[in-house]
Amino acid sequence: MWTTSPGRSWAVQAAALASWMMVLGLGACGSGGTGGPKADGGEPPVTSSAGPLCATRDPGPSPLRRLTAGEYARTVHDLLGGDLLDVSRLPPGERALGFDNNADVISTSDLLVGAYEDLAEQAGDVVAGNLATYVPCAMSSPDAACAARFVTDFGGRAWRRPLDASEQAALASVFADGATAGGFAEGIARVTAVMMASPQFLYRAEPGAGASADLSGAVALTPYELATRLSYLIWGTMPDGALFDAAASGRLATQADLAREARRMLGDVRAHAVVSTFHAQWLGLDKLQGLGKDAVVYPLFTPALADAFAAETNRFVDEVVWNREGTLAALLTAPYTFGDATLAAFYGLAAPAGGGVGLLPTGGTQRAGLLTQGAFLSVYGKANQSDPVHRGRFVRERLFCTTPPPPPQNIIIRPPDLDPRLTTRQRFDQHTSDPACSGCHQLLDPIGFGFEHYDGMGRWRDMEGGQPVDGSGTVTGTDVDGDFDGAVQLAGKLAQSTEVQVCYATQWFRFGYGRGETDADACSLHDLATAFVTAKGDVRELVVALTQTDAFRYRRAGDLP
Amino acid sequence: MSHFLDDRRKMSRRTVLRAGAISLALPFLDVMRPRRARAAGAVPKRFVVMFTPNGTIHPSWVPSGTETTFTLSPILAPLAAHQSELVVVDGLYQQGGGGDGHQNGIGGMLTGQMLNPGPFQGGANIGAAGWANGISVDQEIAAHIGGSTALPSLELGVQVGSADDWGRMIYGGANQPLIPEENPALAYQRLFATRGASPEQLVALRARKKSILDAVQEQLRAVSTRLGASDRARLDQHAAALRDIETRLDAQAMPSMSCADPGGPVLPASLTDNDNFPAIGKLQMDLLAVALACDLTRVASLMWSRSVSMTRFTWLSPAVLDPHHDLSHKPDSDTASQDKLTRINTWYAAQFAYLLDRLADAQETDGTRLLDNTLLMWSNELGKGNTHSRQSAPYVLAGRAGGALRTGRFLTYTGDPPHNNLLVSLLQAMDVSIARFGKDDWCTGPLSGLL
Repeated sequence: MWTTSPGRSWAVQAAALASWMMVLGLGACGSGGTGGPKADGGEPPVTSSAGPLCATRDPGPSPLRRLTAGEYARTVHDLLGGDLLDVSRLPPGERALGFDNNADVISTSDLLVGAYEDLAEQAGDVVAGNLATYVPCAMSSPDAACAARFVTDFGGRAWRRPLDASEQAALASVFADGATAGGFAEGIARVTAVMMASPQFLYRAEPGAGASADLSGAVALTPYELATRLSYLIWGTMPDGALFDAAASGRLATQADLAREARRMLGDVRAHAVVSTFHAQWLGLDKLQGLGKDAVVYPLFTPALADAFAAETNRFVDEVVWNREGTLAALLTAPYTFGDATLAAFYGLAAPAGGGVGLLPTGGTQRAGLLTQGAFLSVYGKANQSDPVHRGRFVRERLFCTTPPPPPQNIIIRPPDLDPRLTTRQRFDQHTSDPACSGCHQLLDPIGFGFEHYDGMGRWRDMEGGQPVDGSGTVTGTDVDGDFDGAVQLAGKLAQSTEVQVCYATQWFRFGYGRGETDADACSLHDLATAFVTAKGDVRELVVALTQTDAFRYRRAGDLP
Repeated sequence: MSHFLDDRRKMSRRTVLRAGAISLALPFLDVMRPRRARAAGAVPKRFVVMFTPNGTIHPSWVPSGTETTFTLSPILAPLAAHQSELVVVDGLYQQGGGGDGHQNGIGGMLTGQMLNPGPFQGGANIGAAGWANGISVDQEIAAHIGGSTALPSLELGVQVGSADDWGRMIYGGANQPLIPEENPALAYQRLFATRGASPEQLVALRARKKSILDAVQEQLRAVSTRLGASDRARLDQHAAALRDIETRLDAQAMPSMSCADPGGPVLPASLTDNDNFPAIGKLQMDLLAVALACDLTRVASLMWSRSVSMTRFTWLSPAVLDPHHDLSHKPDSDTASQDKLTRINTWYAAQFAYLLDRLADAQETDGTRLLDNTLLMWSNELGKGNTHSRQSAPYVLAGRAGGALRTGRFLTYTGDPPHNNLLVSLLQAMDVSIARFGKDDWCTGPLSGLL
């Protein structure tokens, strides 16, 4: 059962309150650096300033969402019963705040719309070429009534709700024109293409069901709109029959209904793809594709190794979330990973017992959790050296949700040159000795230096520049301040941080709702974070909690005509 | 319809390519000659932008000498054969604002506008910003001269790989970035979609597509009426793109009838493998040249990598293994790195030269070369990589724009005149009557002394 506002325990609320100040605020750099320099008159960073905590319930904005390339592919798969279209031609979605589904920045150009059109026609040809499968009535009576039945059934699934009379009529007329031009199959091909090129398929328009009875200024969503929100949130694809049935029979009305469906859906393998996508984008692992290293410094770093890293982290997330502990803490600290003999050798571990890819216990001294895996370490590693600044920045930005301001304009920003006599830490000394740099880098480097036992491709090292590696570091300005030695210890700290849990929930908010958080979302974010903390960082419970917020259940009345 | 179609056919036959001139091996087709001689000036003008990233090495880029008697720099040396067809422009300040220097450099490069607020963060610097606040110069030109061709403009990229404001430079309007096609095979499909179809088949295909598009437009209207203003604006953009596609169906039907299909490009094994960067770029340049030569479009752009490019120039000799952006932040005193950056930019100059060669190879119906009727601009989002300075951003213009541009010149400006002024002059050279472009207070009119 889900705790909503009245049921929050004070302890959790206090912890979450403390973290809002940090999570929603800007990272301050030294003295007077709050807000950071604004580059060339630019706007302040998107992270909003700390505001009053959940003063007014508000669903926040609900910008029109379009299926991402991945959602499009999965939806077409479910709709047509196979990977029957050349979806690879869809351009990748715009990336903002790490995720490829941010509705505020989607672009619409001839290239994309033309691809939608061509794919819709391809779908029409697939359907028309397999009438027995898709339009069974065509076998006995290929007529307008049969076409109308097809439009009702296929259209209801493609548009994720029953079609209204005017839509039925418009599509009947498309069929009739096609049938006149080229016979029954041509009519079916055209009407299929129209359905799949229409906004009801490509976008997630939500006209809503009128003013909400329980939240003023809000519009309630229709059961089908909620079913669609659920299915794309949890599965990244269209609703299944059970979800359509729940919508049709009024079983998506309450928070408990939504939680029940969410739990059912999390038990389906389709949920794995979304959880996998979230973590890959949160960690920036798509950068592994095409990532190159200096072949002289890192001859071991090949495309095959990069692929192995990507597969490792993906499998690890899958196992932790679905088969093992299920928590953020385990993602950060689990003393095991998955790989084959080659990967095991790279990590200095024993090959998996049964051959092939298997469980690799790490012992938890050199490796434990996502931040000690090759994928993270090589993406956040330079081509020829480690990268304490960006590793530290990742922790600040993606784990604490604080945004260090950019370096000042018109200074030379460069990684220090390689010097065989010095360690990376020594070479980055300028950051702390030069006052122009030290303000911000004191937030980044003392965390990033904790990763110094891993080189630019993630291999463990005890020595660098002829000297022992110093992997010690310090966390400041958080709820887990203090010194640590090495990334495994750092991960242990992060796993205990409420702020990190709140930030992880905020990342899911951005990904799950396809937008950045705003001041108006304070209550939704608070409910989300509270539920996650209460559930001791259980990732599946966080996904369920995403279905319980005002942001999920309503939209603003002012956003509709 | 037939009258309209006939007109299209004539327009598409304006260009004749020399046999073998383009590596996609366009055969010489006598049928591509116009049925009657065209009046002088009937050959259309074309506009091309080529972008390369991360700033240049100014001392190795800037020519020496006077406006008309000058010696090309080491970086520009590969363009020697085309020196009389260049205008090298030094001393402009590339305007931009919002986000970090890379972001606003590329956002302002062709738009002359600020970036709007938005959620893009990350990259080498953090600067939250959104899309640019206005149309880019090429799209403004396309709006005037792109109306009758199969595509209003063609955006191509080479391993751009970044769907954010570091990876977009072309804008159809404020907050409307256009996506570059990075896959030469898909670009080819788009240009020659109806290859091989008979006229009767084309008529049927067009009729089908029109009926589908019309019905989709009807649904867009129906859905829009039930949504609020900002959602509606999103669907309006979709509807506009559909209209664009629909109005070009006739022109798109023409390639197979009047312009040689060069055949699909043979792709390298991986489009993301760093080492295939030159091969993909060459395919894209070949396609760009064919698209212009066949009059499938009159406005095109080529985006090499992206702002904050991490390309590793492993194919140079000696190989450069450092990612481009890492190198670009090395200090001026690091002569080894400056040499590498000079060689990188020299390689890009050679690519620009290759593109000019392809346009010089294509002969128009009036006996001129495609290059004579084209205006090209090679630009960069920064002037200097290690400071993100946009002073003296490197602009190289090429082609005579049908006589509008006097070439074989080296122009030096002092006092940091805004590059918006250059954009105004480019528009004027392309016969767009306009006095200002981009953000108003960044523009004082055309660039003096250019045209």
